Amino acid sequence: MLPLLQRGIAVHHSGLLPVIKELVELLFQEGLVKALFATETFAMGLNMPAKTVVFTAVKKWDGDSHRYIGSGEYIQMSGRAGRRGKDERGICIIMVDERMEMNTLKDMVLGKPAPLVSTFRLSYYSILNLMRRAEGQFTAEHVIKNSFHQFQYEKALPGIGKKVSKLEEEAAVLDASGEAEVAEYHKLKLEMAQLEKKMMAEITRPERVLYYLCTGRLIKVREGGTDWGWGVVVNVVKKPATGLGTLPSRGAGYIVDTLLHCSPGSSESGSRPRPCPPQPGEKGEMHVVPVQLPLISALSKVRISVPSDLRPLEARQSILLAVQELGTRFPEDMKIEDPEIVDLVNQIEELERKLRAHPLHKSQDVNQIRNFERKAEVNHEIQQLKSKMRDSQLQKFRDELKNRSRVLKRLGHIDADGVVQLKGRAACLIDTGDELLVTELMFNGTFNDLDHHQVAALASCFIPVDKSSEQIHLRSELAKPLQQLKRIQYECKLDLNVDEYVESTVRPYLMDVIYCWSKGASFADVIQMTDIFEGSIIRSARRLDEFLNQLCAAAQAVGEVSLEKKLQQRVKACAEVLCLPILFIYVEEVELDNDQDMNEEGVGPLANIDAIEKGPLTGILMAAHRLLNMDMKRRLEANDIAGIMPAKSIRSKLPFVTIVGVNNHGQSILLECALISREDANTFKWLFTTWLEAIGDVHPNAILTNQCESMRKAIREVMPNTRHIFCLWHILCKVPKKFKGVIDYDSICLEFKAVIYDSLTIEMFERNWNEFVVKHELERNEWLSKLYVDREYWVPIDLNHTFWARMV
Amino acid sequence: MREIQLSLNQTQKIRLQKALQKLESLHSKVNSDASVTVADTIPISLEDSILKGHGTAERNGEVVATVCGVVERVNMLVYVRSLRSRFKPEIGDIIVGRVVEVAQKRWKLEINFNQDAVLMLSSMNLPDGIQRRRTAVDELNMRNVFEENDVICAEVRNFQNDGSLQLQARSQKYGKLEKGQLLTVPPYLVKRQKQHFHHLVQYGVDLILGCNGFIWVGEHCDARDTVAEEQLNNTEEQNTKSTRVSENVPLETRRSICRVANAVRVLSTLGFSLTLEVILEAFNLSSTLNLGIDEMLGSEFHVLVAEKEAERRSSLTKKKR
Repeated sequence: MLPLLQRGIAVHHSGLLPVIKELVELLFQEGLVKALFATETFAMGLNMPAKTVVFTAVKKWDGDSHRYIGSGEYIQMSGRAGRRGKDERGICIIMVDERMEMNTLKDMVLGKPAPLVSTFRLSYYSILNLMRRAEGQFTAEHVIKNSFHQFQYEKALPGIGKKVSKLEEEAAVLDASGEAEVAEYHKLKLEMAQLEKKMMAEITRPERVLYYLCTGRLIKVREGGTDWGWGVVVNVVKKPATGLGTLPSRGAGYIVDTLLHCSPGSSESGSRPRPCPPQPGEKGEMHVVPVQLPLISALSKVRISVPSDLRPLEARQSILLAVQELGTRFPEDMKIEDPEIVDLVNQIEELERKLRAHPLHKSQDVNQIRNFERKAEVNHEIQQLKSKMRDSQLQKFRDELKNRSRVLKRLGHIDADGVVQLKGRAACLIDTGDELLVTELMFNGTFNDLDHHQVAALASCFIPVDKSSEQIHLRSELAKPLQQLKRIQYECKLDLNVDEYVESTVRPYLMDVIYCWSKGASFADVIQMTDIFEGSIIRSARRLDEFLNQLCAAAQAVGEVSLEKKLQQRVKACAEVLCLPILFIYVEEVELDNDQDMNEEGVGPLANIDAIEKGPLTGILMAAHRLLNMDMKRRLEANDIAGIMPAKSIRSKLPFVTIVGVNNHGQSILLECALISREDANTFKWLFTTWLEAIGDVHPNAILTNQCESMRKAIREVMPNTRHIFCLWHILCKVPKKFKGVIDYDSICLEFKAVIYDSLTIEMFERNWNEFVVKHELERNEWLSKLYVDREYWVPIDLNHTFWARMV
Repeated sequence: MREIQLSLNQTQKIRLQKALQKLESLHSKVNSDASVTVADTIPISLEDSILKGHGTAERNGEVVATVCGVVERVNMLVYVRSLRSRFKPEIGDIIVGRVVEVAQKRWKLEINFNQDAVLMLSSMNLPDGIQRRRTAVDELNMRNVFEENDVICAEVRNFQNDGSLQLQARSQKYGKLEKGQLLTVPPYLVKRQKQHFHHLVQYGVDLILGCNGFIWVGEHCDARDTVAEEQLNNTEEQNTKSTRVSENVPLETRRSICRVANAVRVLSTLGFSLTLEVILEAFNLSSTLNLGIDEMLGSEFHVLVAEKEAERRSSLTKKKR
């Protein structure tokens, strides 16, 4: 990635690590990336304009098919072209391949955005949550009735009605003379077509036809409406079975390479032309075309010799001649001796006769027949629309609600009256994974005998992940729960195809990965284990975190303490692991700041980017304001600084450290802030060293912190000459807690303050302190004795000979 | 079981005991060894990995109960449903409570829970029925909506992290309750049901069985939007407020209210769980016997109700078979 970036080229897609994505975006916004290869993901972001947008393809894979991009997507992406205030116009280039038709392109470029269509869906989760509200069923129905889906449906109703009446009119207008006869004729025709089809199905049964399909056999090919005429079999190939479970459907498994008479133009245009038969009278060429078995409509008993080398045109042309010659000599040839087929053939012949005898066959009133067909079509359409009108969406949902309630009842989530039970309450809390299955697992105690790493791995199955082609090597400890899960699924007997359901809900691709990661493998190792993009792993890990939180809440609702504890532990571990990606983002910002710092002021870097590669990142330090930073440096040099106070607040589960100073007007200013991963001495050491480095190694005169042992250790090491004290306010904050339960609480508090503030000398303080402790029999109080040991860190009288800028 | 405190004469005592025995025998047939007291071992098969729910603890490899109650099993989960306990709210419960404090943007309600419940101004339909941001004016007018000592009906919305309870009253059904009686019964007598609001049409009485054991019996009012209207006119009608409260409830309705209330009282003294069916039965019994309302609280009626209930349940179980 780095060499690419250095040359101004970048890549952006959803599978990247968040940090890299962010990096690319930042670089792009700064204008440092000259060419960016991006997916649609990038176009969805805010404020990422480019001068030119190039579409390399107009089709995309949307999960189930290759389709043209919609107009909405096109607008979104092409809208990136043109930067405000920089470019006069944005340029959008579409690389269209020749297969695209004008109309599709027109639709894409000029089309209206796709209409907003409701995809409202009743899930067990929503049903349960509605049910546990006061009036379950009524509310559920109410919600359905007032849903956007229902609104859209009702809005569409008059339109459908209009359409129906219009179609009915059309049907009435259509000429209906001689309808009965036409109908009969039509019926005959249909019958014949059906019989023919049946016969061919019989013939083309692979086991029978393969015997005849040897090189040189003449076959007749027909595909839909196009008649290919006679061709010569060159080879029969068995298609490799696509899926393991799929039954070899008749004929579909075989492909017959056939020499066919093709239109000459078709072979020259484009890379993969669609062969088509020549127009009558046109001179064609022979080409080898793969043909599926069901397309073969007739077999000849004649075989001709095929030259071994078919590549030269002459060889193929000679076959063409031979075929044409044969065609004239043997007009009809089909020999398969089977009473059934003979019977069928006879039937067909009879029908044909009838058809000929029919008066209409002679007159061949094309118009009439067309009218008839059109009418049938219209009638069919009317019927369909009417049925659509009838089966109201509301009714459908009501039925579904009923069915799903029945499932819930059987699983014991709700009782007969629809009152949500304990199990249902647990299921209410889970919406990231499949709620029913997870609750079932939980109540069956599956999570009980797993340690928390395994729980995480098992939970990862319920997180939607990209499919991985890789064969999963399940560790034995994980395979067992998975098996169990499948079995339970089966026992639940939800009205679903079990295999399919398991396939769709359970995605064990990440099991192994999460297990190892949870055990403490480094991220770099973990990535090696799978072919899923690292960004996707991070994404699913975040969802996993959410899922585990929900699971934890569910365990709490049930009252299962041990499981809850286990999950909490898990969540904590997960949060720690997930710190990494979050931190990266900030590091980048810092890094960018650094670059500018370096250029303008020549100040050293704040955070070392190496830290990322090493894995366990200790923390990051953010320059609150670069200029302030300089100000700070000057101030320190001028010995003007009063004190610094790292404080801690919990934000996004990470300790957030602020370093605050006081300027010469007595105002407090924010000097630095940092996010660190944990509160140990090493982290603080790193923090202070980095910070000192950033401000040019000027040590503050004094520093004020709360009573954190690790911070004290770090300060002692990094800044030995700095006077370090504890914040008295923090200490006094703890007084109510520490003196809780003492008999005369109020008087103790007053006296304690008096001891601290009213002692005029150090000796006096010590005397007062001892008196205080003895009087209230607090010798055993650990907190007090520790405070006494550390007295020179906080007692005001001890601090008198240092300048504190009134911070104390 | 708690002793029922009634002054009974000898025959009444015997009859009551008989009825209760009958009830007990019916009950024990359903699940015999499910009830436990503190420190009873709950039998489990060891090879299964069970989940230990509320009211259980592990001691020396055995699962023991920590409360008196009934053992319930859901799949592998074993928990003890306690017989008598303070109200333990669940999300979606309908509760009746009394305002104890009007605080900033919120009312505090006594709901028989271990903390006061909080009803935020924002989770409450405004009197004018419009959905909008709550302004400072609304905040000042909070006392016009609910005052201290008002009785309110609301729904449990969610729990805060500290375990306190948030309510919501975003429906016409919820709101202030007037012209009626508030009864307090042990909360375990009210089971969670599909319907907690009951309108006894023939008597013009509303009955709200709050899950917290507060039961409201009052005059019927239509979906409570009359209350909303009254609120609208409230400001100009401050002086008429007092008259409005004492606005006449017909004597017949008052009698019905008292009769229902007394039926509930009798049932709760006997320790029968309160459902609409049972309450109505007691009500009808009293009126067919031509008992005065005050006589309903006499011991004779208690005994009668107990006998009737025993009869009803036994007929129910017979039907099931």
